[in-house]
Amino acid sequence: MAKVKVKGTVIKQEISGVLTPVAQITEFDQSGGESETFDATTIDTSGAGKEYEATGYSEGGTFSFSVFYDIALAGHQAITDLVTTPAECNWDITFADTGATNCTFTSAGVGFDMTGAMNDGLKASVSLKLNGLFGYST
Amino acid sequence: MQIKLIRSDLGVAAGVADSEDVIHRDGRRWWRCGAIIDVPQRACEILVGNGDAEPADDEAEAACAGWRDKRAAVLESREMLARGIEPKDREAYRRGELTGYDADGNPVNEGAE
Repeated sequence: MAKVKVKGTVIKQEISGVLTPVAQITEFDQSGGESETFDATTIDTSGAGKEYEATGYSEGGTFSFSVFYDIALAGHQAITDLVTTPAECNWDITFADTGATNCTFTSAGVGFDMTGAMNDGLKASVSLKLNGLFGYST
Repeated sequence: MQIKLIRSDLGVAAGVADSEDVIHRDGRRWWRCGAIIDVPQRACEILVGNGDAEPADDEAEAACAGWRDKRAAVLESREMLARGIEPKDREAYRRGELTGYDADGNPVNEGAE
């Protein structure tokens, strides 16, 4: 059992077979992963509790991260390339635990939002819609 | 076009088959430093511009015109990225005052006695 630090986590993007780290990430978030269910309640269901069953599908969800955005940085341009030229992309997250555990996933679509504020550096938020499931460590 | 990978910490994507340029280390697959691979033009521009590779043929050289300009700064930035140097510590890294961090996140200088 361990409390894994986030500092040192590396998020890599595939560029033509090469996994290279994305620079200047400040935070990341994986959300929306869930096994899908349907409402299986019927009028003769006993008791008050509604019933649900698995459909057999699971939603991969979204992986998001924020960066200090460097518009001239090749690695950041590789992300906006996915907006201007939509394509699937493979990603790898290597965590900062002692075993350097990694998880992989494939993005189908990319959202990119840039923000500028007088009292902060130029930032961007990247949102990756997963194709398939997040490669959870097992 | 062809590029030469110039780092030993570049992972191999899942869809790439094993070859003499793929090294198995710590349960992962890594590109051999010095491996020459075929890539499309945009990948060439990104990987060379990112400090991961150098052009390895005339076509790649032409695609990355001016890539030698400010190359030292590009490679230094790439090394800082690999070492996880925080933005606030970049100047200290450039001055040689730290080279990374220990397991608790404290700055360390491997070259210091």
